[in-house]
Amino acid sequence: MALNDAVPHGAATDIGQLREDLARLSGNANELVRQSVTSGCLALDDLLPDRGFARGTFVEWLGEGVGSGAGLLALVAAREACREGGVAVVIDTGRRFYPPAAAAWEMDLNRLLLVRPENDKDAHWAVDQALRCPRVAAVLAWPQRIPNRIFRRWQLSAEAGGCLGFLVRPAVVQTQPSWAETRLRVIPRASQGHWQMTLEILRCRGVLHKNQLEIAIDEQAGKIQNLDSRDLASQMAVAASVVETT
Amino acid sequence: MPVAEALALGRRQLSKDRSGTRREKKTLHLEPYNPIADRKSLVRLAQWCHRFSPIVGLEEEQPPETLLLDITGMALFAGGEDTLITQVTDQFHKRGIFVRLGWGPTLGNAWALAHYNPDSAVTEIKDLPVEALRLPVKTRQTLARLGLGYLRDLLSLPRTELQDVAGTFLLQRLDQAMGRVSEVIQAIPSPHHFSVFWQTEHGLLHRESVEQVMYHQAEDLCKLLKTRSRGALGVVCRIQCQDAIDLVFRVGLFLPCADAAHLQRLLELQLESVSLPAPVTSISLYVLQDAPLIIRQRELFANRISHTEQDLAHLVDCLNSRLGTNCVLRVFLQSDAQPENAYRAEPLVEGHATKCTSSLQRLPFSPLGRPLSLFATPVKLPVAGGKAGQLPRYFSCTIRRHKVFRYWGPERIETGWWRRNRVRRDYYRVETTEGLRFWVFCCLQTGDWFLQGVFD
Repeated sequence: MALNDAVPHGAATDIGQLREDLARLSGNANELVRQSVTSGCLALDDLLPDRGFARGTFVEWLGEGVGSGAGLLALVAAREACREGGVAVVIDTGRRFYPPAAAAWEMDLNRLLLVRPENDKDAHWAVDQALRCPRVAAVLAWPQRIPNRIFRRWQLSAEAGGCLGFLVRPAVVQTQPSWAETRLRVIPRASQGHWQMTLEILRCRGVLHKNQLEIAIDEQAGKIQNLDSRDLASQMAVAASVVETT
Repeated sequence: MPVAEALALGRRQLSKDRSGTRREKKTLHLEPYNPIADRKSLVRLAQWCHRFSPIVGLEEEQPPETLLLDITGMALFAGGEDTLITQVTDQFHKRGIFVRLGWGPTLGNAWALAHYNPDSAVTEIKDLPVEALRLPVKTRQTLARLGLGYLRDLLSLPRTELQDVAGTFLLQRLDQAMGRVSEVIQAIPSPHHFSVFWQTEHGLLHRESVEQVMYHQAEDLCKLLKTRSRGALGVVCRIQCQDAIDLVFRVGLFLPCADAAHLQRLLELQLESVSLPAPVTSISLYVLQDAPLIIRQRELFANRISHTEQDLAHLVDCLNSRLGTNCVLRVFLQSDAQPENAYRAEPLVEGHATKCTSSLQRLPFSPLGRPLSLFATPVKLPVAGGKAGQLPRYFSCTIRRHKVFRYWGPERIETGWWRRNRVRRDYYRVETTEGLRFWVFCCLQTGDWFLQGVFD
């Protein structure tokens, strides 16, 4: 009889946890199963090798211009990372993060810690501290310049804490070296329907069968849809309902 | 005091200053009435008064405005009753508090003298008004109708008649004021004092040595706290240096803590931000605020990732220590139409871990109705290609020129008249030809266009 059969169904998760503890105690971190978290966009999950973002890693969202929606997508992913518990830490050096908008995206403000450092040095330190905390599920930040040494430290901290780091940055940093496991470029497009954008996977661990994705954000419900899979009738219905002026 | 009355008082004060010789500008500072905060500060003051008496309490009236001290036998230690009274008055003056004192054989007697005879203008207590008896308004009105304005009027009447008029409560209060019946003071317990002190004749020059001493101090302090199952919520560290100003750090903790290593780490974070001006001669730590310690059973796997509040508390403590309490915040939504005031950010300090109940309330806008990045001060937009009051076809932002592809709006927001900063705005969500989204508004008072946020 297998061990799992010998115990009640509810205890299976406890045994899994104990296995992880034993692996951690024996110092063999590679035995730990990579836990992935949904990105909040099913189409993107299907594209990614881990079917989401692996905990303990970094995801960079590179926005093609101010107002590209990269931060919104990062926020949705951070919200999903907090679903199973833990808090989200928002490092807001520019003092522009608007919590009511986050609440509208169903981010639980009870699980949100807003940190507003005075300068980049403090912001780098705060990100590092937050990543190391096991209670933190996601760290969301808008850093402009990240020294290589700091970025490497963040990556190690994220691994140690099992936290997901989301960095929203301009697309111009695309050529700079990065310690992020996943790098996504967000290119918005003007359209008659919902807010459309192209997601380009610049980097991720594993093999990709496709590196681009067309998505649309529902104006009312805020749902992220895959444009390729939507039927023509719904696209036409959305286009007809939108008030437009040019 | 009502706000209108306070404002009128402030205006009178300002006009008086303008006409007078003093030219300095005075501003009226208004604070909202907060009875809970008032009571808390009065309790803190009562705890401070334990230096004068072991039994200190607050009056039973709600809201309390009087501190009660049992000074029976205390005059011996101060060198006489008058010396004790002078000491109490001086100590309060040093704190910037001007008090009215009254003392007598009973609580009622002292209360009456403090409130109605602070300058000892009246020689006998029977000459005081009936208000000195702490009577309900209804009883006072009854006595006023009968022409009984002073205690001597009451004392001249038979007790049975007084009982018929206003009940036994009046007699009880009268006896208390005359010193015949004593009362019990509901004592406020004295706070525990946890402090450790270290000094040396030869000053410490090296920072590592100072940190080492601080660690031992933190260990001793935590031992003291643990003996009473208490944890520190606020700790002050005072470092005295030779011929230099003392360095004082204040460490605030999110949860009660008696962990020496954690406390030491927080102190080190504070110490990192300053340079030692001279050799250190003494280090003292004392607990400003403490609370019962949260004790948990140890887990089998000590290094197991535990999703406990303690981990988060340690993170908050570290962030607070280095960045300052105003940089580590929790947020609450507010029902205010003006976007800048639609939320409130509060520091996370000293165990204020209450949940914000308003976070998941139904919001009056869709997810794409508000931008994720909002400018605290709207940025004026140089616009082109539009009529006055109409959404411009072009605008410039972040050095780039944008062409409007489509928009949603206007969403009119008119609010803030009670803040004397009326807001009349027409908001538009704008999508440019590149697919970028902005949140702009037209100020209806001036007709200017502003950028309020970006959908970043």
